[in-house]
Amino acid sequence: MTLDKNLSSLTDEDLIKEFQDNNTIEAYEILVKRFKDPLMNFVYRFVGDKDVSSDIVQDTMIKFYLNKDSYQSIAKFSTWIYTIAGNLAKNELKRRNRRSMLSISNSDDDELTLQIEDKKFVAPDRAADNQIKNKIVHNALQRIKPVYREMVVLRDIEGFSYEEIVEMTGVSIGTVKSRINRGRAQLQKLLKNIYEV
Amino acid sequence: MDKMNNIEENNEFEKLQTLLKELPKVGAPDNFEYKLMTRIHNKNFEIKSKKKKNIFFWFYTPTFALVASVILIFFVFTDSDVDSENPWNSQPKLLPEIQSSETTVSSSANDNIQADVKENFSKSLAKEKKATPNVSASNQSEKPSIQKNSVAANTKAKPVYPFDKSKSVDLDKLLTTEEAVTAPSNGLAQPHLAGQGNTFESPFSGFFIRQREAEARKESLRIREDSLKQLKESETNK
Repeated sequence: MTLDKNLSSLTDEDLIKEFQDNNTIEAYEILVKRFKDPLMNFVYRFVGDKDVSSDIVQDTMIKFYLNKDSYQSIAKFSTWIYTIAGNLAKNELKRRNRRSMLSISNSDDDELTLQIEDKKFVAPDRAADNQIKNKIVHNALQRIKPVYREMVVLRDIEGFSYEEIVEMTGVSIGTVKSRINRGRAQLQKLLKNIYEV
Repeated sequence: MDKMNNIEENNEFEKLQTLLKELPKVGAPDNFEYKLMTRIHNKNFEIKSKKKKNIFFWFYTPTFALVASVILIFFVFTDSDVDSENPWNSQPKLLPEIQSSETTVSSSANDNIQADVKENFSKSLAKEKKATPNVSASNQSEKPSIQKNSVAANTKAKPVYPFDKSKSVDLDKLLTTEEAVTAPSNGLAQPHLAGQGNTFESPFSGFFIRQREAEARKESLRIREDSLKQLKESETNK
């Protein structure tokens, strides 16, 4: 009990160190408790399916358990575990793209996706309900390109800094910024009816 | 300058950012930790979201394609040498037609066999007549007589066996035909079983008697012994 209390007060990096050095399963459990919900939210907004997201987060935790020694203390634990989850989510999206033969969002031309009229959008006067509005935003998020979506989710939903996103994704800060902006622009076009409310 | 741009961008997407931040947080299921710890305790570390690729299938895809194309070419584009009748395109035959064709085929086969049998039988009779000119009339009356044009003899379809016709006789046919009853007037001609190959050229010559040979040898030895005795006596007399 006292051990749990002591461990709960530790930072993420101290907990992973404890888990690495002494193989303390309690430290691992605390880290799982801390990150399961944020990771679930991130993966769900990225992939768009709750069951699949749950599986991906489970796999992320399993990978974390098995490859604990690959974490190096120079990086933040959160960026490390988000990187694992992001890679698994990307793999899932790639697999989906391979399966969907009639997908129209595979084209590299960004404008092509935006030119398609979104008939699912509800008129502004009927979109007063927050639930519907959230649904619309979520659907719009799923319609933008995955590379932009990942950045937008990390920045605007999860609230990570540019530097942290750079660390997670492994791309330059300029690319991160431009992708975020492009993603936002696409979203704004898709959600222009919502803004008018 | 960069800071100014960032501020402008933030102002531009401010509403969007608030919309995104207002999105409800989605949490993990209640049994998430229980499932995870069960997997760890059971050492079930299979990655669910990473399904195995069927490498075997992709490896053999060209082979499958080649085999399929060869089969297609062989069966579709090759002209068959035999003009086989397509059962789906031809009209089915009526039952009386089929029966009539079968009887003609079987009767022609029967005629061939009967001709061979008759020929062989007449040859053997001629040989027997030469050997024994006397005839016993009593044997003739014992054999059964069958009418020439009996329905059973003519209409029955009999199969053709792949035996040497010159050396074999169908016993049933031989007994049922007229020649079998009338021709062997000497009573010595005996019908022999089909497929045995027994002919009159190689009759049974009897068993070899070894006793005679032993007696001859005994005689020669006796003569030899006597001569030796005589030689001894003559020597002793001298």
